[in-house]
Amino acid sequence: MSESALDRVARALDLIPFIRQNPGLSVVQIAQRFNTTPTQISKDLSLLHMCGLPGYSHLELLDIDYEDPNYISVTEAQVLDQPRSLTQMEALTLMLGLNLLAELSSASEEREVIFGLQQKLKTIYGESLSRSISTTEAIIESPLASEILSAITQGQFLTLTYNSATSDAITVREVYPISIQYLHGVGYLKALSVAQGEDRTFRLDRIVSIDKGRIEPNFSTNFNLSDFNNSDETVEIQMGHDGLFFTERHSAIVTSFQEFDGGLRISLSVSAGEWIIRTLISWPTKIMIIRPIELNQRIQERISGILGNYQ
Amino acid sequence: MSDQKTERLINLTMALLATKRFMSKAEIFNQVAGYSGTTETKERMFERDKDDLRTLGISIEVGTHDPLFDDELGYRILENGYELEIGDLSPTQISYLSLAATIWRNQLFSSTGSHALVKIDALNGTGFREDFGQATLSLENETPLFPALWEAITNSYRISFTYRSSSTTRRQMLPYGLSLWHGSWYLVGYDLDKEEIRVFKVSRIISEITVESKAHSFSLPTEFTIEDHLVMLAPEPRINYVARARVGRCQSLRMNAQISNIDAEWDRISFTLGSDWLEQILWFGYDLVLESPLEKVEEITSVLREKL
Repeated sequence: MSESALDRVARALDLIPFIRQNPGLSVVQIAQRFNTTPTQISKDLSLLHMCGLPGYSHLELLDIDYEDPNYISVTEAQVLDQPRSLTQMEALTLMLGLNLLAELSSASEEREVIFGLQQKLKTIYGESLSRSISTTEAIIESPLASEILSAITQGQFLTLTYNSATSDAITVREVYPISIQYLHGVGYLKALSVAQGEDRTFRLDRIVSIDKGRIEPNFSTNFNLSDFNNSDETVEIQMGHDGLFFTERHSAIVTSFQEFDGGLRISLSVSAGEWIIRTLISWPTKIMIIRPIELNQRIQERISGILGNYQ
Repeated sequence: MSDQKTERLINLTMALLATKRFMSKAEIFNQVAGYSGTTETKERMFERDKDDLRTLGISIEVGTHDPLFDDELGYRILENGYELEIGDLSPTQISYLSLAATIWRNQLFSSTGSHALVKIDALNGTGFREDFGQATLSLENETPLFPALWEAITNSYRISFTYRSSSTTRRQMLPYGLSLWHGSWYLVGYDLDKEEIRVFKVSRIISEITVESKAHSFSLPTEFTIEDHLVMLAPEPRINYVARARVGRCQSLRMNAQISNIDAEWDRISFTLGSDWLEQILWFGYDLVLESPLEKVEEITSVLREKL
């Protein structure tokens, strides 16, 4: 990917104070931190080697040691020894990240550290950060998230009591937690199921309780983990204008949608038969199932059955 | 950009940072490496260079050598505007800032986050950071319009865009703020057509953001607090429902319900639900039969007949 013209100047100015504080890194390591290639970093370093203060004698030039690509250091940074200030977007990114961490932390001392940092950023970066950004309920909170997070950090097994929406059943299973991911505000725990020896995904807000078990760091390195989403069926539906809200709500499984006959025709990629049946039945307006036909039949039978309960 | 230009911009930044007094253009052209050609060429180069540095967020102060003779302007960059001045940070604080910078799995914020992290690590070095282990947290909110909206808010631009909800309309507004709620961004601002503060879901904006005014075209009302306008934060009215639930089924409803047994097949449960009551009840299919309120029972059966 080609970088914008000024990105290189920005990176060059940031390289000097970074290397000065982190001497001895290799070109490859530096490239990783700056999201670029080792070749580009080498080019940047040889260019910076020619830069300096007016006079441009060896006393005024930047002095960078880069002959050994495995050990880069800056001996003379001139006026570039301190990092540049954060841009508004960088400060905002940190601010939002801190807000989310605060929402996820349970210990009051953790919240205090986070609050102190937020105050620092607000003081430096002005009122926009404090008055124009809100992250109240940025994510759907789960009271167990911080405990699960600490289990992940320690490499601790958990026994989950889980309420599955799809099967409408409460089950207990032993898992090894790997990560927490938030998708569209909903938190998911990715974990290895000990019984199945495979990774499974659990919605945080459906975990009823946890019991902590033995600690075994790096247990998961013995397993190959599959992708987060594992979808294998295409479902095509047609609905009215509220289809827009359906696509918003279920954006993770919507593969395409288009205006059709005064409404929307939507393609979905889903794996669970029972989940999609419940989802389509519980949507408050009529949904036509174009394919698969068998799914349409099952849903129609189910609706008739429910109506039968009311007669 | 050519190497010469990159080199010249770095040399210019360093020279203007090093100087205590204002440097005149003549001094810059004579002393800073990279300026060559006719005076006009050098002038043009310098004008572009100043704009480029400003784009990078480097603010160049313009002033005069001598307050009594204000005819010749000079330039310099003040350290306290250029350098990251966040004060002393403890290892724990640095760890939290690092985590805040790397929490994102989203193109925009993961990129600005990694830029911020490089600067933080240039304060104290990476060795200073505490290890938070292998906990990973990520959010996924693709927000291509976010930079344009944030720029409009911080510069107080009047903006317009095309918005799609039940109908598609062009909206003109004064952007006041952004809220991340349940994983989606919402824009809060003064709607110039409706003449009141409104909330817009950013993902429903289907055009680019058009800037309709110069910067600072309005100021945020002094009493404005973004949370006051976030309708989604208001507590939702809930009403009471009574239903028959098949024994062993309807687990989520049972968690906050009063339950009494009817027979081997059914329990009677009483619970409260908000505006999504219809979806919640229909989710359980024929394992749940609503008994009251009667008007809700009628609504459910009419929705089901329509779905046939």
